[in-house]
Amino acid sequence: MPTGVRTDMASRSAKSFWIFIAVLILLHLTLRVGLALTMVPDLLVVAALLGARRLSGAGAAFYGLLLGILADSLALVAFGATSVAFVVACFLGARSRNLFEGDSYLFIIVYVFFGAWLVEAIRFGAGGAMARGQEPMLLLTAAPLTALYIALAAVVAMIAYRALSGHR
Amino acid sequence: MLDFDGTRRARRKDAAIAAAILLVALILLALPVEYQQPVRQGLRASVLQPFLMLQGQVTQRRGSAVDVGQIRAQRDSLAALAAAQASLSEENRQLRASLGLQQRVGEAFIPANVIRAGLTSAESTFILDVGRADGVFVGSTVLTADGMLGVVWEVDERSSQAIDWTHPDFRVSAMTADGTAYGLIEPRRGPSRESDMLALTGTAFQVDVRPGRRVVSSGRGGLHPRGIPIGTVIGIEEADTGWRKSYLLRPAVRPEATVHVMVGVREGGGDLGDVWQVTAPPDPLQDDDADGGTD
Repeated sequence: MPTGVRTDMASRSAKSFWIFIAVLILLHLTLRVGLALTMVPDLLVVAALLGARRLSGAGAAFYGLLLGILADSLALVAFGATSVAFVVACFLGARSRNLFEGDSYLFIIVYVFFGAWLVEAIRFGAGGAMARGQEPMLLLTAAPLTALYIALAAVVAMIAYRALSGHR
Repeated sequence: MLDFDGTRRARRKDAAIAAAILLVALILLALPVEYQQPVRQGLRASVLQPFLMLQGQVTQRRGSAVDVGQIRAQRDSLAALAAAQASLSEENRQLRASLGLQQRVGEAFIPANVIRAGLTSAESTFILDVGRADGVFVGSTVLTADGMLGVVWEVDERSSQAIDWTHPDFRVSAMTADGTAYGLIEPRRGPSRESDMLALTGTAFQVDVRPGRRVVSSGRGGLHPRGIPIGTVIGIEEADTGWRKSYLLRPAVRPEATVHVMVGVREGGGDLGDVWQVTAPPDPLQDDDADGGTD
């Protein structure tokens, strides 16, 4: 395949991927903020972790910072804790490509699970949750379940994206 | 897609920039609240504005779809509360007038709608559709016909953000409705948000509070009015040998189901004991203070 055609396809693929990420963020804000549906998985975490895999380390960190500030916009205490969590998780997500290639559904579920768990752990620590009397055991009980829920949501989102865009 | 392998030098530069961004995030976290506030307010007034407006509309529509009988009962209770408030404020006005104090105008509470955002970071908080322009201030009491729901923490011109009693930082000075025990209210987390409880902590060890006793705000500190129901004692939580006891309470108000509230617009506490038939005698500590002041 000629190089020009390949570049063009890659560019279209990148554009459709970032549209997909924007849709995830809008969906999160509409469902969680607009309709107060707390049972909806945290799609900002999904958007952060999936998007980070397509960026450089610094780009992913900046992207994490922006999403973190957005996630913290209604936080009355520990404002910035999610930003710290997203910056770290997104940077590691970007660097994870050096270790793991490919985007199989199995990989996505494992990657997003550990990424979301890491976000929960950093948010818990940076937000001073223990000082506020929250049990650290939550990180071993509720947090993995939340992370699994988010990971499943990420897989469903990727299936929908690939079905609609035709990209792999 | 960007090249992520790069040279060693490029990777080091990339890591250095990421570290600088992490530093920015840490600075954001460490910033004093007064510097964080404009960032939050800016986001609420811009990016989040359409979504918050959407929920405001949804809340109003949902409210109209709720069982009419339930609404009527709630409205009657709130009307009774407002009526009692009016008579109290009139009584206060007359007392103040007789003491030569400056006349204060307006009701002590105004109605508001609750808007809840489902963001993880906004857990245990809610937004009210009234703000500084309506007289709301930081520390305003938020209550329903059943009792206290929370406290306003941040005020914008036309909206405000409050914490409910499930928030880890929620604290109110409280007493039993008969005035036999005084203490401090703190939240207690349950396995799920629906099972969150309250605790009356720091009560005197020699005083025994029986299950079923009502606990109301004591008015100590002058932030919240006296006599607002907070919960009902369901049992002892902890007895710190020889010093003090803590009791677990069943909360008077469940935050999840609350849509319509009343928000305090008058600073300086007050007494709402008559509204909820609180029979407690005057606070001995405040009597002591008053005596001390006149000496």
